[in-house]
Amino acid sequence: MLPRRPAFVARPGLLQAVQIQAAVVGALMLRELQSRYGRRGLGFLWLFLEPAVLGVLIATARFLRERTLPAGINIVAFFVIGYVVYYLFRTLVSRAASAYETNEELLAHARVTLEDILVARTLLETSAVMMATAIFVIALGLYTGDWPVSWVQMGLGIVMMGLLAHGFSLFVLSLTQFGVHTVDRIVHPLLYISIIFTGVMYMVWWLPAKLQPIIMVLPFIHIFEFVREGQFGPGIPYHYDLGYVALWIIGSLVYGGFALRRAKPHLQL
Amino acid sequence: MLRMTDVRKTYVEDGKAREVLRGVDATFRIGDAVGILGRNGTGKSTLMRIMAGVDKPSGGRIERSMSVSWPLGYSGGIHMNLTGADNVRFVARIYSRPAQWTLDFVRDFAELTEEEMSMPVRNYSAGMRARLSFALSLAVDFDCYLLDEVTSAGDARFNAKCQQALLSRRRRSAIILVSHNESTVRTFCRYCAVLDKGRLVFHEDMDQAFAAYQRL
Repeated sequence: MLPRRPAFVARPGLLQAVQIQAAVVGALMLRELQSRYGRRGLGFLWLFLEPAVLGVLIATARFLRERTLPAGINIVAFFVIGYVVYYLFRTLVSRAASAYETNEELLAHARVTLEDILVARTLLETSAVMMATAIFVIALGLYTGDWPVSWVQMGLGIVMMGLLAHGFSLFVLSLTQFGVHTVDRIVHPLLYISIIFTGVMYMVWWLPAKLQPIIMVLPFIHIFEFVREGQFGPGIPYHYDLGYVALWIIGSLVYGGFALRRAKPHLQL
Repeated sequence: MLRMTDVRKTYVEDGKAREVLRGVDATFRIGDAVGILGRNGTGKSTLMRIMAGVDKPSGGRIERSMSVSWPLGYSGGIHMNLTGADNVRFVARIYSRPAQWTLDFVRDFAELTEEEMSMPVRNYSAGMRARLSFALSLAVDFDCYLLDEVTSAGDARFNAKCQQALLSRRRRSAIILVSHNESTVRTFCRYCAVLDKGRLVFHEDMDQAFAAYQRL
């Protein structure tokens, strides 16, 4: 008959609190999977096919124009992996503004919070991008015989991008107190042009010396360079500062977290 | 027990503060069955959301030592783009209930077919949604049920079934019912409170409560 596990715990211990939290985030991840990708047709496959297809298209376009990259870097490998990692940031941040609107009914459950929704999305997209990256690295390795120098380093880079995107998402969601559509109108164009200055398309050492410190003010190119070092290994100059990236990640998470907390009472009108 | 002490809620709209709740004091215990009467726009939904823990009050204290349901209304807590079954699985997961048992219970109680359960809730009628939401809350088995005119959404036979289910758990649950319907309130509730000007006034006597409500 009825399981008598309490639906409510007055003062949950740490372990219980963690269990509840994990159950909620797990449920939200499945919900995101179901409503974003459906259960029929290609279904869950879309989750990593989408970044993969976009990455291949860009790489092919470049390839057809017969442009070569400095230091003999494989052109497809460079753009596919770069784009897939960039996709993680773009997807998370561009969808952040809709977190409230698209889950309003579920927020009627006191256990479900906006933070949980963002955590579920970050976990889901980060693992999807990891899968997509792994599949591409394997495919490229089989085709060209070039295998990444450090899988772990590539994975760590993707995790950093996920965390950074999470911090930005918290902030973007907090901004929706001024109207979801206003935020969309600002965030989407910014994301489109961000492909120019985040370093998806180039490496630091390709740039003129004067431009290098400017582009390195933003944390994104540090992450791309870190991932590329894991991918292509020594022989190419890489420019990154992990401490600086960590500072950005912690800063954006803390600031975004507080901003969302303050914004919450104004979101629910 | 669910206790509110001087609970206040203020919304800011276009730079102007609007006080919806101005000091609500109330205590609900297991076994209580309370009707809350109030005109439209007096903050009944706000009060429900605060009791459910969905919204935080702007001031005052709220203590809960029992599980409180989400506000049950026409489609409370149900996502429109998910199928009925996926909604059930979601709720079962967040309240740590076994999925298959919950699915069976909801399908039986809400009288939904296997086919209807695999349809997105968006394609449900209002009655089907209310049935799903209500059955789901029974499956979770809360200590306190927050009902927003829920019994008026289904057909007469299902309403009777809901009433039966609620009446049978009056001993082990608290029921807080927001309604305009005098007969619904009289069926379920032992006493009544009227929400007016941001405060909740309790009446031991049902007739007195309705008289006060009519005067508003």
